[in-house]
Amino acid sequence: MLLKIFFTLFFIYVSFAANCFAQVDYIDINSPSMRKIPIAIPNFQSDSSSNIAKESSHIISNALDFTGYFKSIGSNSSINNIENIIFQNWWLDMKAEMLVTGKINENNGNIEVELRLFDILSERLLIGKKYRGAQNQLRNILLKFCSEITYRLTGSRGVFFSKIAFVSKISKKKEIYICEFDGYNPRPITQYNSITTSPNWSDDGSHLAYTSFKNGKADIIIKNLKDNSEIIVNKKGTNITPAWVRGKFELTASLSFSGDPEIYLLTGNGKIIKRLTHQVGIDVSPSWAPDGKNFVFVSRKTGTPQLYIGNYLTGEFNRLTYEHNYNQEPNWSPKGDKIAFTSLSKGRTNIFVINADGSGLTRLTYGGGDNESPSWAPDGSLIVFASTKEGTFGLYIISLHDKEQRRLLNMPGEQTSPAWSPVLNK
Amino acid sequence: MLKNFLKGLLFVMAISTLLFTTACAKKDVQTDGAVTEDTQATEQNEAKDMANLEEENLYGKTLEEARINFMNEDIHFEFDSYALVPEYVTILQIKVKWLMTHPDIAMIIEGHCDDRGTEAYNLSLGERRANAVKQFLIDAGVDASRIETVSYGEEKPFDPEPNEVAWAKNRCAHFVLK
Repeated sequence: MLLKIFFTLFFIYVSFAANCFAQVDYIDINSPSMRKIPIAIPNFQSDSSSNIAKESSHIISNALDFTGYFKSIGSNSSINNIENIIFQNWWLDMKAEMLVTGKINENNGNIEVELRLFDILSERLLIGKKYRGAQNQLRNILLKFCSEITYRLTGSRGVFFSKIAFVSKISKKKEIYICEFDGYNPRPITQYNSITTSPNWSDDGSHLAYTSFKNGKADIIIKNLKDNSEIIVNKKGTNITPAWVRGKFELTASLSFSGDPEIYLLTGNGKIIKRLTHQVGIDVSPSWAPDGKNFVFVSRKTGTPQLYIGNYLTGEFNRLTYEHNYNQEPNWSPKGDKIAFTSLSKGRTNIFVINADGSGLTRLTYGGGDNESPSWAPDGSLIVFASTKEGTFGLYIISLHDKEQRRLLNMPGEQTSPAWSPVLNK
Repeated sequence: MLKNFLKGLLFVMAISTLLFTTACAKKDVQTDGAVTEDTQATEQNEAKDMANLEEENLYGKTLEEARINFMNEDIHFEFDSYALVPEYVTILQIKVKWLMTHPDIAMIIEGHCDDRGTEAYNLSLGERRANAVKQFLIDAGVDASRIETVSYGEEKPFDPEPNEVAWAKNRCAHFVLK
């Protein structure tokens, strides 16, 4: 889909400055003392009478703020010349360290967008791009430039071309929805008029697997998002918690047809390849490491739910969590080093993060209702989760750097079980 | 259900009254010695039908009541547990007796959980609760082919309030008789 966008985009790359090829890491995203870069984004210029220019600068501000790396400022200011900058003013007036300027022209349903990123302190142009495309591609063009900015400053493309799947509950029915990374454009994926939950993205983002009661009991449905075709895994018993293997068209799930809920490896078409766990008691909620070899899951082997790591190749199992009696919903970071999970203590569920080697247990959420179902952003910098902090369940984003939280979207009903997709254009 | 039952009862009462009146009338007629064979046959058939009707309705009433009682009585569990609590073992033993005397009745055992903990884990926990009850019934002699199980986890709470009373109510195995 996104590839298509790139083909339809008549894309012109203009290199304004030769010295910008020298790669500089402005933001060390792994540093615990990382501070947000103040970035000025004055209103864009336009010869159009519509407010497309103002909207565009706001889209860029919001997208950059979303990353947790930037603090956008100067949204109400304007700039006379988008190329020749009087750098001192921006530094003296608002302590901005970076500056984004833009100009947008509309022409018969097409748009031409010129965007530049300047380093105010060293007084130079870092990125300059001119894009042409259909008007309905405006948001994608702007996000593409945001992706260039974060890549130039952090070495990571960011999460701009990822989506979040989630469950929305309205009048006792639960359906799967998808929205963009920032909560934009939520739309239903299922309309079963039943209870459907725990969505999980295939590694290439082309399929979603989830659990649904649409046939009366918990079964797994594998949905192809391109042609909307569905495959159902409806073995006897409960068929739940699908989790795709990274780098393969295979998934794991907890199936109870043998009498005990165990983790199985299945093909992307729902055929059982092999059984992965042989433990007494409940085994559920697998989540895969990016290496495609190790997976973390919940086992009740010791009498209370705890996290274990299994190695698919060696068949070894190691217990990961020892603190608290009720550890669940593990989600392995796409960067591989950390695992987020939920822990129930004193009647409340909260989100914790632990290193994959069992060290560095850290609590992420405090107070304010239950905080559940953590899912990592594809760059490992943010986590989306469900919380009752404002009453009914809604979705929130937390930054791993400053632990700042913000609400992802506002829609009727209750939203739970978020799942962050991989980056969908690589 | 109750409405139908009351309707049935009224019908039976009406028929009984009619029957009684007819019987009296018949007696009168017999005294007069002017009854025809035709009338007698009709009366006999009517009486036979009515007796059957009455018997069926009485039977239906008690069975329906028993079914409702059976389904209204859930088997409750401790938090994060699928072990049968002694109090509910007694109730299950009573249920077994009834099931043994009604061998035609099949059932679905639904496993439910309170909404603490996670959806996925609770689906598994609910399944274990339903299976624990199923196993008890099988061990006590109920034919396994009569029992289906389904887990709803925390998805269909009987009481959605976030308090201990509601949670205790929702941690259960619930029977649906077919």
